[in-house]
Amino acid sequence: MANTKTGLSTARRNFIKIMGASSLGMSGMISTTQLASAQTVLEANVSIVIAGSGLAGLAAAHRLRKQLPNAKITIIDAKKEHNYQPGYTLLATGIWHSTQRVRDRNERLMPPGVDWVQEAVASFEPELNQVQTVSGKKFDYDYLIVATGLVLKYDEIEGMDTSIIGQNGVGSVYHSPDAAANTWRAIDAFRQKGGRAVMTLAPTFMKCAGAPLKMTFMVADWLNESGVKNNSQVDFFAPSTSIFSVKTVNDLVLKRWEALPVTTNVHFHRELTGVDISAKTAYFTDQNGAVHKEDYDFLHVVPPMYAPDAVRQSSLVVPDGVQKGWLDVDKGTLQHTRYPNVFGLGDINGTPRGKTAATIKKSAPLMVHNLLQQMQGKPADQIFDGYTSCPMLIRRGSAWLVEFNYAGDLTPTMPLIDPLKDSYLAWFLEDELLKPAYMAVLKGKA
Amino acid sequence: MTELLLGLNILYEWFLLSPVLPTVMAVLLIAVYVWAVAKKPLNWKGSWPLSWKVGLLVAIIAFFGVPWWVDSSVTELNYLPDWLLNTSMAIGIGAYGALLVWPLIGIRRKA
Repeated sequence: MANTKTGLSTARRNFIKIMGASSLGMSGMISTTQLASAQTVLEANVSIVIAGSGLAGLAAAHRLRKQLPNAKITIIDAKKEHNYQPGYTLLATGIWHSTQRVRDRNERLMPPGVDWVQEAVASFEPELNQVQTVSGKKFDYDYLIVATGLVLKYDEIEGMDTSIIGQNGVGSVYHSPDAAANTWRAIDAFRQKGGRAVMTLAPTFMKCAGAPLKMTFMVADWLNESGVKNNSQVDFFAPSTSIFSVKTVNDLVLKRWEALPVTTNVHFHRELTGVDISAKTAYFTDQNGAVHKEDYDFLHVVPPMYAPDAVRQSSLVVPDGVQKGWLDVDKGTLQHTRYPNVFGLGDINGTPRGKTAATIKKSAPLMVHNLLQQMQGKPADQIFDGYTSCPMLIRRGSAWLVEFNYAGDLTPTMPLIDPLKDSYLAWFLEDELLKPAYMAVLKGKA
Repeated sequence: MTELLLGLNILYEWFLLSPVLPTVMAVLLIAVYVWAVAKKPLNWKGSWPLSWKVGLLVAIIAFFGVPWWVDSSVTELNYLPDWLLNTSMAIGIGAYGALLVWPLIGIRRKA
């Protein structure tokens, strides 16, 4: 039965390929036209499932809705609230004061004519071209876009309780809008007296890997501004021998931390593995397995991050190596390496860098283009260079606009911008314009 | 062209996210002009010198005020792009101020 279904689905895709390749343009099947914006429009009656309704999933859905007006597009995700996650650092550092600035409803952001299944994906069956939800519903597809994002595993840190974020000197910018706002409450209380801030980094790939660095800069700035720098210190604990994957940025941040008015130390080979919240003690494990106890007055927790279980337990993931457990896509085309009708977008991808919102700006149109190429039996011919961006908050009022690619080369997109220079413009962009830019990307307009 | 479209889309999304201030500013400007035209004759030419001086004052206030509004300060203007951004925004706000007071000053001076 399963084989029959797979066979039908393959035949269907092959037929679409044939029609596209021969440019017959039969009404109701497939025809190709060009918009002024050079976006291909196909009139193919295909079924596309998008797993995930974050920025990546919605950006893909909006573009596909325009470029495949006859396609059946289904988004599967239980999440009803949409969060502007790049705003979390602004909430957590006291720059933004309301969580409403990062909250929205997915219902409002769905493109018209797209079916939204409000359930989580339980399993992927790429051999059957099928996705199953937690309630057991099965959805067949011709093409699948995996845009599930990642999961935060706070429970891998012994003693960590996310409900305590904001209390007892514990903060974590990643968890949720409320956690980000509560993190600011913890920092605000901490800066009244000062003391020891313990900042951490995850031992896994991370989304917005610059966020822990931004938090460190801003905590030090608040301690300085509050007049408690002399009885305060900041200690940053990194699981490896670097704090950021782009060497020029890594080296400059370390140099800047040395020169901060608040004493700032960096400790390498220290992975946060436990916390005693009532005793305000954090436990770090080094590369030899030895555990080190560190007392704190403020602790910033960065949890390990992984692909969701439904992805990890499927055959869609990289089987081994550095990217083990992440979606196995070609880093250039974003097409799955073994299932050509599967594409990946966003944090879930097992690519060298780019678990940020900025990545979606360039990768969403490229991935949609490559999917349409695949649909027409043509090779995926657009290659993603890994563009991503990290507006690095240096202190209140100033930031760096760091943009880079897979190779770690700095790739500024705006003229005259020096990506590693303290800048009011970069701060202004982060504070005022990145959210509008995010919304434009989400709606497929950028 | 693509970057221009992106810029316009970002401005549009900015408007959707914060519609109150630009709407109030636009309505105020239109209302002032409609009201002033109804009260004609106006001394447009004679009122311009004072109007642009008011605009200049508004621009100077904006030059310091906009950075403060976004939790920064003019001391953070570090290099050319920073100065270009802040100066252009101050000029824009100053121009709005000049345009807003122009007909009002014209009415006062019509006699």
